Amino acid sequence: MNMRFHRGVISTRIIIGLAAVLVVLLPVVAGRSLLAQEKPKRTEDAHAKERQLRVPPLAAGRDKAALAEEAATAQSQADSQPAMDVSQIDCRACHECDNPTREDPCLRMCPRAMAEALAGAAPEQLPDDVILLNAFEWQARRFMPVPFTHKLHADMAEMTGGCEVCHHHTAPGGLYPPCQTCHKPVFLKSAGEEMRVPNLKGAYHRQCMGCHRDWSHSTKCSICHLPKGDQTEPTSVESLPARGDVAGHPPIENPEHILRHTTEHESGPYVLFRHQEHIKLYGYDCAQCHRGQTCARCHESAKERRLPTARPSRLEQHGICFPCHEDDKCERCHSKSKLPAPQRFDHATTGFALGKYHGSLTCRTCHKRLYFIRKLQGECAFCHTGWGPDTFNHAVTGQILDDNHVETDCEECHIDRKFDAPPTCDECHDEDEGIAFPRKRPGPVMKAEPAAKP
Amino acid sequence: MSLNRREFIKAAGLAGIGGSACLLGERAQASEARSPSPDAMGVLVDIPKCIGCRRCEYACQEAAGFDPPPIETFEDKSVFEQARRPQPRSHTVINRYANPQDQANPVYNKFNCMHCVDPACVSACLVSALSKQEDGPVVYDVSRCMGCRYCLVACPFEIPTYDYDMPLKPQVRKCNLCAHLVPEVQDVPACVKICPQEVLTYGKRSELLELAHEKIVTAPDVYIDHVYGEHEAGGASWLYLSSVPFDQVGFKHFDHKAPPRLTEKIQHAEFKYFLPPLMWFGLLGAAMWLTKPESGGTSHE
Repeated sequence: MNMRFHRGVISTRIIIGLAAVLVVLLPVVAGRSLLAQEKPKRTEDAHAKERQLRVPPLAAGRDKAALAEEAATAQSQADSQPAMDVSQIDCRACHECDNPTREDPCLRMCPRAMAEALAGAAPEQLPDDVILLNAFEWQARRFMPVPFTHKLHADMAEMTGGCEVCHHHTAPGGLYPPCQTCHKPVFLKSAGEEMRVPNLKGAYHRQCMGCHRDWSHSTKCSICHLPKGDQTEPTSVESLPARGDVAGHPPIENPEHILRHTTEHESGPYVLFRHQEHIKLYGYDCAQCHRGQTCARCHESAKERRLPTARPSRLEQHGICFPCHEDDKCERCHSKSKLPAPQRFDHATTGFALGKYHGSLTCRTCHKRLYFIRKLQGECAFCHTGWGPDTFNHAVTGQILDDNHVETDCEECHIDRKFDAPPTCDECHDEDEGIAFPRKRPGPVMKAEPAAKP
Repeated sequence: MSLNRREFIKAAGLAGIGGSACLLGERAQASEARSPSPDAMGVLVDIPKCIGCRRCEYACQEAAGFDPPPIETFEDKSVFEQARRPQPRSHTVINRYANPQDQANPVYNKFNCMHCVDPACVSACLVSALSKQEDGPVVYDVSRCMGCRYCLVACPFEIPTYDYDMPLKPQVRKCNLCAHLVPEVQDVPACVKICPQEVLTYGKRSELLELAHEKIVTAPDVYIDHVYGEHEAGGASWLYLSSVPFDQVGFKHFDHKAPPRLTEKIQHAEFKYFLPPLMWFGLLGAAMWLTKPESGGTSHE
């Protein structure tokens, strides 16, 4: 009895307990399912907030109406521009790597020529080599127009970070709008939005003074602004007086060699970098190696700064050479001799020995698209276009085609016009019967070097 | 000593009444902190953008009516060798400080009247020669000035100077935010107008604060998270953004409380209902009366 009563109490307690658990859990479960529905909305909000934060200072703080208006104008501008055929765009024109991501777009340095070609810019849209800046009337009363050497600065910018150094807030790949699109040539006003975007005077000076005072240590107006005086007013770029300090960068002398002897490598302490050879033979231009460097790196102020630097890491030291020399042995660069015999690159090691015709070309003739020299992928067709059975003398390859094959289309053996891959025979022949390249050939093979021109 | 018990109690009672009045007064008269007017204008200084060209010094002298030397003379960098304070004929100065982040490019900072929200100089001025305008500037009226120079002592930023060069009409000199020019003659103060880098932004203080915090959020790698002048010494119309700590660019650390809140509290308490002076005179009178010689013959009265 006592026991049953006890059991009854226990079961009642269990029921009450379960009920309590249900009462507690139900709202939680319901709430969770509700939350699960709400979740995407919340992340959306978070994304919106994030976007808002990422908005460049230019747009931050504008009221919604202005933003909407701006978006509408941008849309209408986009509509008025001729649509770009995406399939015609070569990804490699702008991206260095195979898989660009939003975080690491691996954009090439200022692909100006390509950008212009892609955007279909008319020649008159391109900037002059020298641009006369005289947007301000009050400035024109005191100073002569400022000759801005655009081409020269663009060349220099290649080493410091590309066109985006000055043409900020603009995605690469299109034509850059003039500064005055955002920076108005008006005098300072103190109203809300105008406080956020510098006017044209401020924008020009902020862009220029950053580098100019870095290397010249001078904030003299006369560096750019020649006062009006006895000199006659220039009407064109050509009539500007010659300027020592803005006429241009003195020519940079390329060193023949750069010898480093700070290495402790077992193959030898010396590393000789043949600077001239890399420029002349392999066709590198300055910006391909000297990237992301400021003017001050070479100019006086930076030299003081460079002295007490820490020893660069192994990756920093090798990173610039690795794209080409990744497969080389250490001894290739680390030597016991200060001036080892030059080792010319043997193209045969790549599996494509350069014959008479290709041997006389510079590296960049064929490897022109890639930043660092890499194996070509179908680029032969860049030069070898329009060749067919009638126009190409196959004998120059060392393989003379017999009468059966001389009329055959190139693609029948060289599938997809891939001439660096071995030809296939199974388009016409049964390869199982032993008619296969290179055992069976479509004609006599010339032992000697071919002499005839195609 | 003729102070008997009854007389001592009388004196102590008087002192007690006076003292309590003093305390009461202190509590009742605790002066209200001034809050910035919604229309108050100010200037935001973006210190990292300053290149130390000293054009603002030239423009300031020109706007103040002094005849500045040719603008080219302001390209002289040797003046940076020692820190300068505003001078009677130069109401703003640029000083140079070492940049710990980039030794080759030092930091420049601009010094002039901060145009405090609750200015100590205005509080210290006995004759209201200095006054805070609703639209921001702290202005000086030479016709009222009596030359006490209390404002020079009171200013926490050590800004006002005294022009001794004209012995017959000496006066206090300091930046007036071009109150004599803005907005009738030009839109913005002379230094803001000439600055080639647009280091200075002129606008409503409230909007400038918004802009300053926006800049800190969008470029946290450039600016330290502090707007100097937002709260310092009760807040100022001039606000500063910096890439290095403010104590490294010549600024002092201040409480968020304006100096007048302490000084006026003491002063107002001292004269509340004129009771404390009466108390002191009463005390002194009582002491004289109590210590008076028994025979009145030697009294000086």
